[in-house]
Amino acid sequence: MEKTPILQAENLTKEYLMGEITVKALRGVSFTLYENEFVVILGPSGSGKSTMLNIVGGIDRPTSGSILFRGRDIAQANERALTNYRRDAVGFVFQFYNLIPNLTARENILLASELSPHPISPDSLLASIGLSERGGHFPSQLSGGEQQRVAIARAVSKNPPILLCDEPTGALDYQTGIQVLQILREYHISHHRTVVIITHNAAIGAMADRVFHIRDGLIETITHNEAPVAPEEVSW
Amino acid sequence: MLMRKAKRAMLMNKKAYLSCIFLIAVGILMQTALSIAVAGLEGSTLGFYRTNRLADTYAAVESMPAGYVDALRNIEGIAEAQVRYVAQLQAEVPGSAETITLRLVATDPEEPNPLNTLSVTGNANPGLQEMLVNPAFLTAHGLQQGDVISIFSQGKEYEFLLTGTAISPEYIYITRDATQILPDEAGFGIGYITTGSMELLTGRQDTANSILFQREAGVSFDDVKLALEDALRRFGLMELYDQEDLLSYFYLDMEISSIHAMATAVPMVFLILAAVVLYLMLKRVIEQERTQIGTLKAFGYSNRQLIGHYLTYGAVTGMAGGALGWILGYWASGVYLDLFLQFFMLPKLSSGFDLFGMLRSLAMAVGSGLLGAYMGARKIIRLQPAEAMRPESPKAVRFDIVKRAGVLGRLLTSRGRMSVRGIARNPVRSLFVVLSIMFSFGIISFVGSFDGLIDKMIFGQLEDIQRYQVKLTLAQPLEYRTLVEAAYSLDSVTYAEGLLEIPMELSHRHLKEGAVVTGVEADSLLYQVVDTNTGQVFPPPEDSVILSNGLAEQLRVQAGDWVTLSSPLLPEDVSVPVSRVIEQNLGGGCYLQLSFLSGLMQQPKTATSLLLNTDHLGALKESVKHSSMIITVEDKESTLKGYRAMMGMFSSLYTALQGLGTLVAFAIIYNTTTISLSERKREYATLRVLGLAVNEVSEIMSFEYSILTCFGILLGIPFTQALNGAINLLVDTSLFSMPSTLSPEAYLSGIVCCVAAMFLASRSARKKIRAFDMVEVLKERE
Repeated sequence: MEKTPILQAENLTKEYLMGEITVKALRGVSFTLYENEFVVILGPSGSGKSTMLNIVGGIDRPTSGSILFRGRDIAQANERALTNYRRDAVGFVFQFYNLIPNLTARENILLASELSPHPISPDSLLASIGLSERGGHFPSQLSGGEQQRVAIARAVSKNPPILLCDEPTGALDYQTGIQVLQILREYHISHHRTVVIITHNAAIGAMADRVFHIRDGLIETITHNEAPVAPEEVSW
Repeated sequence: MLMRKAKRAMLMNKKAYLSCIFLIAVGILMQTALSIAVAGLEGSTLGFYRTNRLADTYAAVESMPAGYVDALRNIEGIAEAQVRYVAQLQAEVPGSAETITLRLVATDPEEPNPLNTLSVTGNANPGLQEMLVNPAFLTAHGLQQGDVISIFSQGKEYEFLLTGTAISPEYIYITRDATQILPDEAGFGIGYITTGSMELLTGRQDTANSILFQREAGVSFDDVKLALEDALRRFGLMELYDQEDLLSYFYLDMEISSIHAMATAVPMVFLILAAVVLYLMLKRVIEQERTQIGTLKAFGYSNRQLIGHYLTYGAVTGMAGGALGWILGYWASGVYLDLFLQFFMLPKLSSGFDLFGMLRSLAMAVGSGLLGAYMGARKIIRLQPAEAMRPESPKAVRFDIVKRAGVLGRLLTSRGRMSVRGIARNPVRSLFVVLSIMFSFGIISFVGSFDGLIDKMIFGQLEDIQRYQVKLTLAQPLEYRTLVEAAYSLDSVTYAEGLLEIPMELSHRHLKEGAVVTGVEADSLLYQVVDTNTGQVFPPPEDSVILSNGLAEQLRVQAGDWVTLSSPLLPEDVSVPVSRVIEQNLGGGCYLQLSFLSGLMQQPKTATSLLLNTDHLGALKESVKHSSMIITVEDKESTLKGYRAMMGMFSSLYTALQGLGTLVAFAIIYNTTTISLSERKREYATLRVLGLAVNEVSEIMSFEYSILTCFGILLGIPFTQALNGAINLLVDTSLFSMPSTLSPEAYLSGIVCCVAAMFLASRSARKKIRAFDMVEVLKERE
């Protein structure tokens, strides 16, 4: 079946100045993300995977190269266009959840869904992550796993075409991590959305359609999984 | 090494520390400027009183043989007595068409040990038809030594040569009477002449009408009062009063007391504000640096060393603010002293460098900085190294303000809820912002009300109460009907009424107060008994008195109580009921019907002055200029013009004070938003990642601070009224009280300035949010 590209990155580079030293985080990365695929970006710490995700997410700009979302170059976009891109095109899940502490779980989800013209109902999302009864609780009253589930619900409530997850299981124990992966997989399947996970945990690669292996700011290999496994079959 | 760390940390947050320095500097500036200026004023005044031997007791009689002074000196408790003749006469100066009144004081140049001696510039011994005047009068008319002043007395014009200027300790603050709050430098002056010149003007020889006394040490006014009344009654005693009731002494004393109180209270408020801001800042610094603190503790640094390190933040801020405030305050004290010299006639008014004062100011500033820093940093003591190296666990939300708000809470968007919960998240900080805005609003509104207050006090007095165009003060009381008929014989007079004003002592239980009792015609059109707060007009009562609030408070009387009137002009003391107490801000008002007052004096209907409306002011002035029966001509329009010119001087001072209030509000909102931003930058960066625009994110904080500003303003309204009440208590006397209500314009100025401060601080916060590097912020772990 013909796959439709949703995002195309061409020769992306990113350089940082750390004091007087220039750090090359990305050294010319090219890749394409397609509609309705599950991608895992694997790499050790400092390999450039977070930088790549930040650029894809529109929260950082490349030093050079282009990044086309449905044909529009977001690398050259102005501040307003980039904000609209983040608002409409991507959902972000952080390693440390980053929930707003003075909003309840339901309100955290509502905060994002208020931005979208086609949101997913916060109550249905709370039900889908098994937290219907905990919607009125503040983040400080929730466990780490519960907080990450709320964070995912918040990200998907905007119904974005691309869901970007930065080490979503990094701060969680194994069981909770599996639960979180199940929710991500469920969203991918039920809503036919593109999900990108970056992680240093190679085991998670088994559930992806494609796995990008990244090292020293370059994509070393891209592997295709003909038969991705279910999250509950992943172990580490 | 820790000092280096402190220096870098302060430089990194220099704007926040600079605003603390600003608050401390403002407090110390006010404290230094006011303290130095008032010390200068008080010291110069007391020195002048001492060197020029200010008399402590004063009496006025109709006429007394000058030689009787020897008998007065023998009264028990009296150390010194001197007689003189004082006459208030019309005058003309070259180049001015205005009506001028000069109070001429004639003293005997041969007096061996004179009281109320003069500090003279020019010829200290004027001869016959020579005169010294007070310097402000000279300046107001652009006169010079050698100019000629015309004096009108008994229908004749006398030319007096101006030989110099003189300042008397009796006339440091010069007003015509108790209803005048500000000097009328051009319209009213003091002239000093010899006894011989006065004899020429009045035709009276060896006669006195004013007596000065110096009591023996330890003898009070009450100790000698009865004996003096007995001795002077036969000469038509009109007034007998203590130094404290001398108008100049009274106003100076009031000014010095109120500045002393302000120099203590106002700076303390600023220092407390600065201490709280420092507390909030250091508290935040400790939260941010808890890992560093844990590491340093693990290395072996003691609590004392670490607390000492953070105290340096407060000490440096306090020292910088104190030094800056002191330098500016020292400079500003000169401005204050110059301003005092505009109002108070003193031969010299200066104040020197006061090392102790400077050290005290610096100690106060450093103390405020250290207190704030210690309160913020004391948490260090309880922090264990292992605990400190872990991130602080998130604070549980114990009180959900949105839930408590019910329907209103449900109406809020998610961002609205963030704003509202942001208030409850840091209740101490929120309360501080509310109180600071309340304080700033109070200052701005109160200062903004000054123009209105002065308008209400002076112009209310001159326009609502004194509705005449011209007031002629008579040389002696005259029968009413004859007087008014005589007035109508002048072509230019369109309406005439008489007024009877008698200085009396009012007493209630043990309390006594001097006041001018005013007899007003029952259907008077030119003088109305008005409550200046409500604007209501009351007819003068025919069998009771109406008192002004100032006088009633001094005597502690209410409507229904009785007061006793005493005066040498009354055959005996009389008690009269008080029918009403009304608000009036100037003069010790005591009103009754003119015929009732004449009756109390057992006189036919009498008047001491004539109130007139005219269709030709110039012609009227010309026709009464040479009258021997008229001692002063008060042209109200000229008086108002003089006041308006004088009030213009204060406008820039009020604007500066309002600007200062706005800066205080801005500095506090700016600092607290900076602290809030540092706490919430991760949240705000997350919102930006979720797709919220900079404006949408900054609206969360703006809405939060708008709510706090609204509460601050709402609390500011009663606070301003309380401030007005407190200042009222400070300056309230029987002669003077501040209006009890402030104008809506004053409150509007407070609202505009506070909202502007909030808007500017929000704009600055928005710039910071725009400058957030989302990636960097999200990478940081608290």
